Amino acid sequence: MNNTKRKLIDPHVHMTSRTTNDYQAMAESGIVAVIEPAFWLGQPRTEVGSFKDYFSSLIGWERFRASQFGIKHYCTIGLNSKEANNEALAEKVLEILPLFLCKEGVVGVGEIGYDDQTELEDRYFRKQIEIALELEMPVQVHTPHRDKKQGTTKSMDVCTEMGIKPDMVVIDHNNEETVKEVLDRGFWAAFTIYPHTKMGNERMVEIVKQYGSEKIMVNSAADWGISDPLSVYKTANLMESMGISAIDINKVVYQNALSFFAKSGQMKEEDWSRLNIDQTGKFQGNSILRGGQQPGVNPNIIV
Amino acid sequence: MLNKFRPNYSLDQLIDDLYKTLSDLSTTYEQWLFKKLHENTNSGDIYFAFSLVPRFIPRISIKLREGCFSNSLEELKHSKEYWSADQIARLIILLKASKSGEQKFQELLQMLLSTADYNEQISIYKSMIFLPYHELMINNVIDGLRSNIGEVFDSIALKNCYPSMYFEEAAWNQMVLKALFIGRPIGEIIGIDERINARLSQIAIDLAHERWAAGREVNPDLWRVTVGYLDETNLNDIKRLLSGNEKEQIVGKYLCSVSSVDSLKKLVVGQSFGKYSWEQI
Repeated sequence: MNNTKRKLIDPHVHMTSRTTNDYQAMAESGIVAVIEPAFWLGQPRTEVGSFKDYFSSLIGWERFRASQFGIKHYCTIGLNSKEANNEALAEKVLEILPLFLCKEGVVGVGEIGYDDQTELEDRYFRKQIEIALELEMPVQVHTPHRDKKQGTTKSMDVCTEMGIKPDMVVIDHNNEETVKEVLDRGFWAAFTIYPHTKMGNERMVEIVKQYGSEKIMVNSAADWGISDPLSVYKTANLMESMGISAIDINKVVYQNALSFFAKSGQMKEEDWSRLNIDQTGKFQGNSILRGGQQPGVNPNIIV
Repeated sequence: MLNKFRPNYSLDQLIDDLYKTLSDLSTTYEQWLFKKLHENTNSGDIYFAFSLVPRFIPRISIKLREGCFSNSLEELKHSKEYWSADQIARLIILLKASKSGEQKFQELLQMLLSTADYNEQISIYKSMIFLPYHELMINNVIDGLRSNIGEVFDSIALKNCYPSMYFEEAAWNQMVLKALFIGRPIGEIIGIDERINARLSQIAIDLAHERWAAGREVNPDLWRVTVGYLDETNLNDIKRLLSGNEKEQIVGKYLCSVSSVDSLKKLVVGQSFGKYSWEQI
């Protein structure tokens, strides 16, 4: 579309479940940084060690993989709502969370919140907000797929009750029904653009037309299911063709995510302007390059 | 096994010198760390301090204060230049923590390594030789070399004397082989010439053959670890080098000149090419 590439941030994407082809396409589309919230892997975990290794991979291997494509990788660390229902396990996971939350590049507690809206989910949601308050970290809140409207309201009620400022919380997976209350109460509102479900990009364009660009951000939440890691890019393009101003687009697909997660003190624009891609110097053979592959000289291609 | 490292300075002396090294850069760095380490003594607090370092002390290169580590660095051939400020701070934290005794310190190190991001891993591996009880951590260091993250591998394999002092032959050979395999500058491996052995030489030659068979290039540095072990069976390898590119020819000539095998020596009889060392090559 454009000759000058628009800079994009995907503030919610599960790269662990994606391939290097996705990284390549994302880098080409203009994505300079991603935030990967800790989440449910599809297969329930039964041991705390599985969480520990998963968190380690978010701050280690996945960060490295992203860097090979010129993408700066950050993460949020937390116990997701589904697995909060395994009480014995949840207690142990809560014990190891502080080990990871102070690490470099961890930009918040997330994604936490409700799934079935059970008592246990509620307990661990609150406990994790407490930790975020203690560490002065932003919170990334997952809102439930079922009973979304009331679940979203309840999530915000709990945040307010716990004393965390709405400005330190992003409420994720919004739709037309939830966005007004989220913005009115001073929270940040994120929208997940899934192909076929939740939010489509046309609906997103309408929301920006109606509510403007303040405190609104778009993400792909791409994971192991049918999802599109280029959602942010495609939504930006659609906004442009439907007459939304460049300033508003920039806020929704880049600046707001940066402004919000920068509150952690762990995310700065210089992080990616200085990131240089070095597939040649450091990583050959049995790294992301397999025997005989030629490293890309730019972020685009591995031959 | 080569010599074990026995420092000729006291732990407190080193900690003091490192603190001063930090304050030479900025007194606020030293003060933050000092406060952190004096407020807190249990392992959880030490763990946090270790994680928090980069928020307060930047990853910028640092000049070690004169006399730091006494003269051990020269003795160890351990590079003076390669520390950054955050790494020095993390080394201080580990040195202080080691005062809790062997068992507690071991547990702390295991915990740190098992949850470390890669900058933390690099700090620990670079510091290892200077930590008390470091000889108990051999398996952890070997495990670090299994990383696919190049910088983590480098922090152990290059400019670090720990492997040459503590690795058994098999682990040593695997490290050198991986360095060759992923194209690292093996001249930066401390002890590279001293620890050449028959098995390593054969592995390297096999790797060269495998690469040639696949039509790929072989970095001539590979032949450095075959010195002293080439014989008549390698005649064709040397001939191939002698007819290769400029660097391969130099390496081929060098190998012949240092060989005690007649058939190899004969290949360069009458040719003069000055004196080479691997550093010059």
